[in-house]
Amino acid sequence: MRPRRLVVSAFGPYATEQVFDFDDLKGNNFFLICGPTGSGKTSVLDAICYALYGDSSGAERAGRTMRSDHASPATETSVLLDFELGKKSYRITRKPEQERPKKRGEGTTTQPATATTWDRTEAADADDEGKVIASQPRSVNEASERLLGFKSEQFRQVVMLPQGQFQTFLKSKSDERQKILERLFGTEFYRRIEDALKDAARGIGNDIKTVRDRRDAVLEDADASDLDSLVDRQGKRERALTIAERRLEQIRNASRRANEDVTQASRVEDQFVELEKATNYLAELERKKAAIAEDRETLADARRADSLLDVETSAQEAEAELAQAKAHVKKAEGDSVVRAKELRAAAAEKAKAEESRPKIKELERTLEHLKQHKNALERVKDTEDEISNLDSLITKLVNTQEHEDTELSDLQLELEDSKNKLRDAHTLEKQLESLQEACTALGKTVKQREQSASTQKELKESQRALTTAERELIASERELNASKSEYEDIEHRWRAGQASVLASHLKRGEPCPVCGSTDHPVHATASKTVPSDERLAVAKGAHEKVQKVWESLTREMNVKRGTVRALETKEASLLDGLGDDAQSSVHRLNEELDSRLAMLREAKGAGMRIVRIAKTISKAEATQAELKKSIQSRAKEIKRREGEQDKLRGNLDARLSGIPAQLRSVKGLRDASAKAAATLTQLQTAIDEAIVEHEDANKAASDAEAGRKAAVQQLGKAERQRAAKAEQFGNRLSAQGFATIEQFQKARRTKTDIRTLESWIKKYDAAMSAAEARVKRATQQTEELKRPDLAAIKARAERIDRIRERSLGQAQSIEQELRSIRKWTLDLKSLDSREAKLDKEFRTIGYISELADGKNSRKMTFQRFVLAALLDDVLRVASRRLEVMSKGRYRIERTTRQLDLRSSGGLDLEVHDAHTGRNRAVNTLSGGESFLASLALALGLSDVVQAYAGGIVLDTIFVDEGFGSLDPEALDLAINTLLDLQAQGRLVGVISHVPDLKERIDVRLEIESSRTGSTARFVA
Amino acid sequence: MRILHTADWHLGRLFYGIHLTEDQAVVLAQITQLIKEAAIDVVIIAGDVYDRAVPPTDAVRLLDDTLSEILLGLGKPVVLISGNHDSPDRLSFGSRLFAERGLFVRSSCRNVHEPTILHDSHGPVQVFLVPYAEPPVVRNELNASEVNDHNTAMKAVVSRIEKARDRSVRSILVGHAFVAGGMECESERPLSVGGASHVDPMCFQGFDYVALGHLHQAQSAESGSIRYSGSIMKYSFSETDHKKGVTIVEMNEEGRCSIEEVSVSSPRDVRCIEGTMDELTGRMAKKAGINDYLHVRLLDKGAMLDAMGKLRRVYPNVLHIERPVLESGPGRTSSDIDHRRMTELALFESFVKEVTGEELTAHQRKAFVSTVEELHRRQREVNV
Repeated sequence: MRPRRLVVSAFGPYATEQVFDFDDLKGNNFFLICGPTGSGKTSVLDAICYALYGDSSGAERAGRTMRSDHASPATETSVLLDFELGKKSYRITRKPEQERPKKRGEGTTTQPATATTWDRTEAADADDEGKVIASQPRSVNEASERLLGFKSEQFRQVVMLPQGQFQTFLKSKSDERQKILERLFGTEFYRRIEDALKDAARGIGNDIKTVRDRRDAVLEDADASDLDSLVDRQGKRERALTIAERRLEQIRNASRRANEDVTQASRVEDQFVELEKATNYLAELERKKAAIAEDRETLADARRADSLLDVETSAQEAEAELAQAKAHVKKAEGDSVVRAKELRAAAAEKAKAEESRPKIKELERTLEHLKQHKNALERVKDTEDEISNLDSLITKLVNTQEHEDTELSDLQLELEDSKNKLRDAHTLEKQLESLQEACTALGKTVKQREQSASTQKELKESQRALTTAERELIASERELNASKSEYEDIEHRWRAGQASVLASHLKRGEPCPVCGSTDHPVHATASKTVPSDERLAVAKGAHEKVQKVWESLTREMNVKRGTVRALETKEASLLDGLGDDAQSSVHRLNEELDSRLAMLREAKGAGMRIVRIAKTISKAEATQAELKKSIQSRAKEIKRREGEQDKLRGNLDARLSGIPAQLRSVKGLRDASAKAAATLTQLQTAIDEAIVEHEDANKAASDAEAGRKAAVQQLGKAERQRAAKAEQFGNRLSAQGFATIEQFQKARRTKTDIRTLESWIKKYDAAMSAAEARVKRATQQTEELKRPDLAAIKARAERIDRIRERSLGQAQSIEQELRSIRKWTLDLKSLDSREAKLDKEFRTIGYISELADGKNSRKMTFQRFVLAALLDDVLRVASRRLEVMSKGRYRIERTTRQLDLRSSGGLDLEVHDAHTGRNRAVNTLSGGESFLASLALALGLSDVVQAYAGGIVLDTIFVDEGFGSLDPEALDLAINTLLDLQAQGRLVGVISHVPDLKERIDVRLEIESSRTGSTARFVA
Repeated sequence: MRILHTADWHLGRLFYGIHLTEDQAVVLAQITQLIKEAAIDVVIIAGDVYDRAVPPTDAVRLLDDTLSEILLGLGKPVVLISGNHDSPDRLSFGSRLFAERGLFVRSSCRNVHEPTILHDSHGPVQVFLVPYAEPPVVRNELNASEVNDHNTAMKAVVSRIEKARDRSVRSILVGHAFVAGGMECESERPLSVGGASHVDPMCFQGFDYVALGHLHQAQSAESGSIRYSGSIMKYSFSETDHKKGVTIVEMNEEGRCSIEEVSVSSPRDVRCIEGTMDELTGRMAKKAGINDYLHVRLLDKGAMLDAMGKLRRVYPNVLHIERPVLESGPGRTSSDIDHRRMTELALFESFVKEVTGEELTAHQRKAFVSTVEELHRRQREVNV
């Protein structure tokens, strides 16, 4: 993780937005964060930590409390971190839960915490946020853990050594160190094995307890103290059962015999009972004998009465027929009277209908008149249609006439217009020649004017160039004068100084190289320092260079002046040629030329147009003549049609006068005739119906009279028949021995009654003979037998049975008890063997579980055994650094002997002190030594973590304070260690007040605090 | 019928702290392209689709995309079983729904005798799916008391299948197991912590083709028709000389199969390099493949600080440094162990030796093994 850019806003001591751009380090990997106490040095680390994991670098400051109290309420607390991970770039933004002013109204609302992670590997620039990969505080934390390979605690152990806590790893107990190593190296599976072993052992322990509980329960059920007593009881019960079973067998035999006796006695008793029953039945039949004799008599009487039935029936029938004939006669007489009355009514009705005959004749005449009117009216209608046809024809003719009039006047106007156009065209044709000449002249002027304009432009540019050159020349001249005077000054001084140089070589008595005098009264002295020969040569060279520049500039200016003059001459000649037009702009001249050319084109077209217009005029005149003729003929036609119409109207009036006013419409006529026809039909129908009804009534009256006569005749016949039948019946009664009709009635029975009586008597006879036979049979069977005492025999058998039941119950209860005992002993035996097996298992798994859990001579758990090897690797690397930093004095080692017998060990640390040659506890180190040891450990951890899991990239380390406790030499060594790291490309950030560091580290993040909050900037 | 046989995708695998999902996406894209170009009729994935029971969301998304492309984009049916890394219940979510669209997922042995029927121009082919299952699970699901290890479990499964199999129809078995005689490598998680995990190849005799997963090296057992397609990427430094890819099987009318290995290439190779720091980072260092995932055997003697930082400036993806000279030299303590290279049992044995000075007894070993196996099962979220 290498931070690129950190932006905090209203965070900690930073009231407003503060940007930390780590790109400002410009490749320097080692930088110092410095500033006064409380200015916000640690807050930089807090912000990075907070962005990644939502907590602070020391894990002491919660995200919620990070908000700056300096910040205005409107400023939102937020952190943005851009960082690189290998070749990938990411961005995290995070905002803590905070109070925000309401958008509307007063007061605040609580805004929940938010966070987002983006993958910006393919982002184009700082504003491109890239691809979202996590968007909730929790999932952002998880994404950071996944990307970095660290949880926040681990991050603080190996990347960001927090203020005051860097010793955690060095001085913590084995347990805490185990947690850190476990997470860093992912060895929690071995701890899970420990737990699983422990669970397995506990599970078996529980099983054993369950088995024991069950055994106790079984013993309690059996009410026994142990298995042996139960086995003893089982033996006793088994013997008791044998005895009980033997006894039961004997009783069973006795019982079987007693029951056989009962069966035998019952059979004999049954035979005696049968004899009694048969005798009783026979006696009962004898008692019914008298009643049966009476029944036999009744049957004989009934049979006699039955033979008279047919005669009686025919007498009764004759009586019924007579009654019927009397009824018929009464009905026919009533009928005849009604019919006669109806006939009278019908005759009266017919006479009334006949009275309407004259009225029918009159109606027929009226209908004939109406038919004539109808024909006349149809003819009137035809005439009216003809008149309206003529009306529309006339209207059409008038319209056409008006249209033609309009057309004629339009044509007149068109004709005049064409004539005007013809005149214009003639005029244009005449102008053609003069226009051509004007255009040629104007074209030439335009070309000249354009030439003049370009010359003017060129001239202006040349003049400007000339002015510049003049200015340059003046400057160059000034420079030349200056260099000249400088050179001359130097030359002058050199020359003056030569005397003093020479003088300095003069010696008393030796000749002067200039004048040859051996006496040197006055030595020339140098007023100023004498320039050297080289200086002179340099000055001369410089002067010559300036001179050359001036000369070339002078030449250049002369050339430019010539150019300007030539252009001025050309311009003047062009202006002369143009005269007045010189003032007009090129643009205006061009416009004029364009308009002239357009006129010219139009004049050329005029000739063609003249021919076309002349043709149009002659055509229009022909059309005009035709139209006039047509209008005249149309007027004549209209007059003729109007005449026809008048004639028709006269006819129509004559026809209408013959028809009455109310019948002149078709509807009135139709209504009148329909009404007359309906009345006629109605009257006719009434007469026809009355005639028919009268005829019908007449026939019905005569039919009724005939009926009455026939009924009277039938009555007489029926009376005679009845008398004959009554006599016949009386004769037969006396023949059969019945004195009166009452006797006959009494003896009479229905057929069913007779049959019942017959079968009843027959059944009695059969029962009687069967009963007699049964008594005889039973008497024979019991002749030689004695009647037994059944009740006594039965009582004995029941007594024996009760004894048997009791014995059986006893035997069964013994057996039941025995079964339970057997089951209990079996259960107990299996439980015992199971317990033994579990015990054995428990001994095995319990033993290895305890070993794995650290209950062993070394007090080392299984996971620590694995971690110890890793820790050794870490310590080896850490010791190497510590040896350097402590000038060979200290090494960190893992304690192999047991320090504290109460706690589990295996991961305890101690230092080897080369000065004493002994190991001692880490907490005996001084503050400064602890810091060095912790630094070495942190670096060692990161080395080993990377060597084990190369996917975790540790390219940044931040150290927060701790340097203050070092003496200058130790500080040097510590800084060298960190410089080594940055030389390998790691980013190293150090927070410190130590002034030495400020001098040694050239790149600093300086933080200044003020009363309104802090600001920070990178200083290189 | 042309079958593409692949296995051991291990989606979501963490390799020395690096998520391999992006590399896996590149490889799967090649396989999808191959399915399109090689006129494949059916795709068989023989287990270990994911690397762990609860895979990261990226891995789930990648599998979803890949299967959707094969089934919906190319319209090819896919047959898939769970391996010893997959959580059976999670993987078989929706399997009845997916079967409607031609994705046949099986993660339980309960109905192992019911084949999935596929058709080609010569008629039907029965495909029997045998997902990975621990022996106790098989014993329970098939109600087969004779099962006590992987071999008897597979025998019980195959005997169920043989009873139901139509011998007149061609048949394929898809399985996830360790066939005796197979070559292992470091990235496979042993199927059994201490006991026997191998399966006798003779039990597969009746099938026309046996598509296996689990071993990461492509290989054929016995005859060519019992075959491991191997993993699609190198997942450990013991596989640096493997050729990774898929197997294309052409099955004719009689069920005879011809086999073609097609290799796929991953964007970053997995390699071991060896040398001193100067040799490896100096001018003479080979610059090809510097982005590969590397295991570095550093031959320098003596102390070396921040070796990783130094190497990484040349090779950004160094994942592991080995210092053979240092490690075999004096100064190592008695706890001279590397937990990543030792099985849990071996570690525990040396732990017991260290703290008690005694060896584990057979009983103790058995108790430890059954506890750890139970723990592994719990991680796959399987209960007996």
